[in-house]
Amino acid sequence: MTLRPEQRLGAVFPQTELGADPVVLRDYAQAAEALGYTHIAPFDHVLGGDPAVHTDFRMLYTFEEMFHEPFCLFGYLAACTTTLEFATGIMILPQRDTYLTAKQAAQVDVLSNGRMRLGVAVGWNPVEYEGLGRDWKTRGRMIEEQIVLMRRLWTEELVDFTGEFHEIHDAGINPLPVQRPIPVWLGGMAEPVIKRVGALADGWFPRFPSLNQRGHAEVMPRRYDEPKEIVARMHGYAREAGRDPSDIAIEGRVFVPNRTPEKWKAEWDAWKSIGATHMQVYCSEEGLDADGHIAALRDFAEEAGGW
Amino acid sequence: MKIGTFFPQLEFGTDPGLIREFGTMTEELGYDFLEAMEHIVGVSRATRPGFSGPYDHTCEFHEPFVLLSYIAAVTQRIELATAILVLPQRQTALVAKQTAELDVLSGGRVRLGVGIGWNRWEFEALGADFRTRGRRIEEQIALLRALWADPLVDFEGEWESVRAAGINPLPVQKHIPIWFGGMADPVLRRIGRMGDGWFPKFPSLDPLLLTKGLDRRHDDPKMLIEKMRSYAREAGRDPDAIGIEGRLNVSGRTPDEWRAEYEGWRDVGATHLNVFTIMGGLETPRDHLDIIRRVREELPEAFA
Repeated sequence: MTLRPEQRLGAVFPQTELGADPVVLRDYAQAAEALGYTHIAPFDHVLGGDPAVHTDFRMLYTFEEMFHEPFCLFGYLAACTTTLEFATGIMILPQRDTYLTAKQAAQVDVLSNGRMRLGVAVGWNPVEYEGLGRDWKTRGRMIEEQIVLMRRLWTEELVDFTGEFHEIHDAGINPLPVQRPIPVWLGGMAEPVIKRVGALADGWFPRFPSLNQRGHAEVMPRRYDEPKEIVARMHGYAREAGRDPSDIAIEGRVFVPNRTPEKWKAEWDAWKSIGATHMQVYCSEEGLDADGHIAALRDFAEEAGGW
Repeated sequence: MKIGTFFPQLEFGTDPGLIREFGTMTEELGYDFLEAMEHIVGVSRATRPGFSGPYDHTCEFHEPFVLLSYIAAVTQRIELATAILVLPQRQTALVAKQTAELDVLSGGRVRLGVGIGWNRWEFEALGADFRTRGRRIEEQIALLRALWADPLVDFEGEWESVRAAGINPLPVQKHIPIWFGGMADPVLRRIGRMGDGWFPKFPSLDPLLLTKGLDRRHDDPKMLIEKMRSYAREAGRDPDAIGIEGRLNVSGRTPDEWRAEYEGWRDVGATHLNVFTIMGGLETPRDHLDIIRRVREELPEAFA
């Protein structure tokens, strides 16, 4: 069976496991598209730190892990694909300049004919913020202002905006994106994030360890283990903000390698039962090489196409 | 001399198929490089009576890192260059990351042209400091080169601070060439000290500049090039290793004029020449594609 577009199944782009050969990156994206995956979602880190020096916080990825820069990667892959959507999943927005992010996202959108989705979050790594010259402490307030401003930059030729962190008068980016505005999704699980999703986001990448029995579960507090309640809370925040909760998409995740199709289906159904509109497969951290990743995509697509 | 195309920002439009064609045609015709200038935001003239710059919010600029990554996917050989990137407007570590990524995606074909810019209104809109941009760019270059060379970097400058961190992947090229635009004496010194090349603007070699009232002091190419080279010698560097790129204005001008301009640049020792098709009255993307083909046909000596 083959995947159907309405299943909205994508793949977490295996940033740390494909290596640096551009032909391999292209082959992976083209294979995903040919198999019916609707999107790829790379994580993003600009800088990796040395855990031997930075011992004051838990480092999920270090300088030894490779991360392709998503905007360049998407520009490159836009030329090699025709339908695949490019979603950052996620990009750490407050550490990046707002205007350049809006400009580069718009550029990907132009070159890909409207295939950009910007997933953003505040991240966990103060080393990157410092290296990029941005303030770690204000990241929550910053990201909200950035989202509001980016949406205006994507929809208005001239923007006039004064906020806590930005002031711009009668200026704008050109060209504007194809999608006006580009969808903005959020990642993260803290209460302010859930509120922000309800108030601002087009979609959400939540992490519910109980639905996957995996996924950095050891660093996720147990209170994240009540998916229905948390989604209901997010919907409540949406209503408070005067929004229709059904307008907010949710992307769930299935862990693929070394698991049975029964297990895949159970995870898929668990996410669907809490209202996931989109899904993604995660195939990293199981020692696959590029061919193994493509094979995992194929195996899963053959199963999931029948669901 | 290497010859390249100047991506027709401002005039080319947003059709991805045509943009791809500009890249593939540049390569197929035998050009050596393709380059792109940039601005991140444009400002409105209406509310800025003092604004006299050439580009406002109505001017279309494709973002060069994304644009060149796109073109990297459809080409195999040509060099891909920013010319120029306004470096002090950007976060250094992110420029290091994106340049390295483009170098990886293109198999080591990147040249980074940078400058300090002129558009203080754009700096203001972006919240970047215009006054310190000259000093800042030197610190930025040092950090860029450190981040490209080592997986872990410790860097403490006046503006930049990176502690025990680095980018991954590193670029393919061990030394990504950094070229500078600009004509002021501090720029010439900077090129002598740390530049791999220079994009000078000499009105006597570049008729488009005369019409824009550029400073006549810049009208002695040989003297200025020698000055830059003397700064290189003072810094203990080989002046012959520093490239010089001119531009050839082709739109609205005859092949004889192209040839004269080409020879002018050749005679002052230019190592690179870009075929500049904008600002000469071309009307459609197809006109730009046609003229880069005509240059190939009419000026074969430049492709020898």
